[in-house]
Amino acid sequence: MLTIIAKIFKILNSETEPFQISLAMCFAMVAGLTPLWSLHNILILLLVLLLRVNLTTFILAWVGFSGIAYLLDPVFHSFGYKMLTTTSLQSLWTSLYNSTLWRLTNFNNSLLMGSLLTSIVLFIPLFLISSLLIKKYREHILAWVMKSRIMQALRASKFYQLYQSVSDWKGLPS
Amino acid sequence: MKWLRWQGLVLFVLVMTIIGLFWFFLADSIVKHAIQKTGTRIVGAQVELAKADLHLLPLGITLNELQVTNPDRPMSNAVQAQRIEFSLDTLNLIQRKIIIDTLSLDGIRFNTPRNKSGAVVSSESNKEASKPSTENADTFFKTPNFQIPDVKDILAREKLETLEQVKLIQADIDAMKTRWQKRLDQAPDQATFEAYQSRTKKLQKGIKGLGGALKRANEVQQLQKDVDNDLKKIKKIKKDFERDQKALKNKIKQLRAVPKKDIDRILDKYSLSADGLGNLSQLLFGNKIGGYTQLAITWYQRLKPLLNKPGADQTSETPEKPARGEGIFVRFTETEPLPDLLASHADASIIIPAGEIQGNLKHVTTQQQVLGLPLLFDFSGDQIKDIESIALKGSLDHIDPKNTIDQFTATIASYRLKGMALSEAKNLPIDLKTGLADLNVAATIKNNLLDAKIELIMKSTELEVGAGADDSALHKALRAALSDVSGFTVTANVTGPLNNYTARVTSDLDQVLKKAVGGQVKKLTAEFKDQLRQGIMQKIKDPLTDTNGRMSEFDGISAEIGSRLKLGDSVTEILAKDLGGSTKLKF
Repeated sequence: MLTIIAKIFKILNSETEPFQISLAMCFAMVAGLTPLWSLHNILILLLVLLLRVNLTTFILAWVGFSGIAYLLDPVFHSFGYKMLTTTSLQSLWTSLYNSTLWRLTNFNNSLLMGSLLTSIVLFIPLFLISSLLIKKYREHILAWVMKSRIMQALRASKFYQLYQSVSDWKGLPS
Repeated sequence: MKWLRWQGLVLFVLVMTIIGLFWFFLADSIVKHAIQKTGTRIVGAQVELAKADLHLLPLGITLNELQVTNPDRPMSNAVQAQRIEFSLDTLNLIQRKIIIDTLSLDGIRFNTPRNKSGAVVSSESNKEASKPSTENADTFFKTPNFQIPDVKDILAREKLETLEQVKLIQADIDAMKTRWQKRLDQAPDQATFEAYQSRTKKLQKGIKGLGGALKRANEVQQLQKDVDNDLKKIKKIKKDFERDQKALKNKIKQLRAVPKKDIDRILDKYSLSADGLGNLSQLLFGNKIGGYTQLAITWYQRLKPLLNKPGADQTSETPEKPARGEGIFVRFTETEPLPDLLASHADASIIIPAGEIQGNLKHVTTQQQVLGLPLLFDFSGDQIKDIESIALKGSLDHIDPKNTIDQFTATIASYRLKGMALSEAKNLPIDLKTGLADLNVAATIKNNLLDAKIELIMKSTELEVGAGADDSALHKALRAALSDVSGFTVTANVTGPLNNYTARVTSDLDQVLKKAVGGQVKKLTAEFKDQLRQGIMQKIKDPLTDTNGRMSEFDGISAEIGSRLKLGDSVTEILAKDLGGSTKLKF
């Protein structure tokens, strides 16, 4: 049983390069900030599962971004409504509105438009910043964390040793 | 490093399949819940569905045993449908549009009983809509009064114009009296003329020389002038007084005609004139016509907002704040506009106690302004128990929300009626034992203004008048007349705004009744009139006596004016006779 759980953890915690973790966070931001039952989130799910991104990071960040989305709901609605009613963009929206596929995306919903545009704009900056921060963390803070009493106790457990045997985390001090 | 992990694709397919299966098995419940929730919100009472069945190929829905509670009577359903089936246009559904080519409504029933109450906490607007118009109801429940009203009660309640006029005249008399008293105080009085008499006596004494003669002549001339002036004033006062007195007398004279006006007015209000009996058709049929009209209007007002809804994708200059996590769907111009909900054609079968009526509806939509076509309906039945044929046709045109026109016609031929209570009034219970009815209804509602004509032709009728509490001669005559009626026609015109319409019901039955009871009515009316006249005269007797007494007070003023004139006259006479003054002012 512990081996199965450890293997699941292994899958979840594989792909540990900084850019793989950052990319997972970015996808989680899109999925978390926008309404869950949206067509684009199927694409996000496909990308998350198909690309080698860190799944644990995706799940945890998705939960976190969902909470942020709840707080920022009125802001996203106002922003989306403003975008959808901007005169210069009317011809674009009108042509999309008359397309069945685009109507399926619910792009004309103010909340979806506001949150999706926000997450797209933040996608690359978040990717770059988080990649950089992860590198810095591993260089300067991780060693100290691993030596902490809590980590020492954790590493002494049987489950951790089992997990360690199946894990392929890279760049981590053993 | 490889960029792709192919086992993720398998997982993706697996996740999507699980979601799909989950939705497929829960879809029926989701549809059922959505219909019940939306229906309940619209109707303001429980809308329940026994089962909803979603088909995928082709995409369609079947609903079984739909029950729509009557919000006014929660223990009965306004509508119950045995089966509703329709197929959906998939591509349009993706665009959030429910487009139904053919809708099938089977086993529609109205006013069916419920096992449990379907009441919900209704909104104020629903309460308003369902509230019957008491003003209109009152007109329908008016019953002719076959008793002579109590004159004392009437006179205690009614404001008599005669009394008002008497009060006004009394006030005029008092004002005139005060005015004339004041004027007399300011006019030359007895003392003035006595002074003139003293001056005359002085002048009558002997004079010395020519100078004395000239002086006296001047004084006589001056005295004559003074007396003339004062007499002129008194004459003017007399003339004015007589004019005012005449005007008052005229008013009192006119007062004699006012009690008759009071009598006529009260008679008109309370009398049992034969014209009053013209209301009987209103009593017999007005209640039922009013009830059906009110019911139809209540449901019309409930359904009317559904004909032109803004839709789920609503655009607004200042949008309402959406619920958290929902946002607003902004609508854009469509190249091929379609309403959010449209059933191009609906076949329906309506089950009434006597049988089944079949028909169809066309262009059923919640957005007529988008579709540009009015809702049409056409129902008929000819295999119905006790009815030869029935036909209902109409259109609801709300394409232009500011200029709506709804039309409805109904024809029922040879409807056999049995044991129908026409009047439940205690003083005149009337039952229709048997009869054959032809009913024609034509109604138009244009911008909330109702114009409906209802014609009921009754043949082979047998009316029965119950004994009731009133067993007077009038009632007996009425009973005999109605027992002989074998056919009649009732016409009702319902016009006016939907929230304040008026119904005028006429019938040739009225003429029959008028003729039958006219003699009795005249006798009672004469008796009532006599009592009323006596009552009014008794009531105004004292005020009139008081008025005459006040008028007699003017005799004193008249006598005073006469006395002053007489004094002035005597001075003038002395001046003319003894001192050679002018006599031209002699009266």
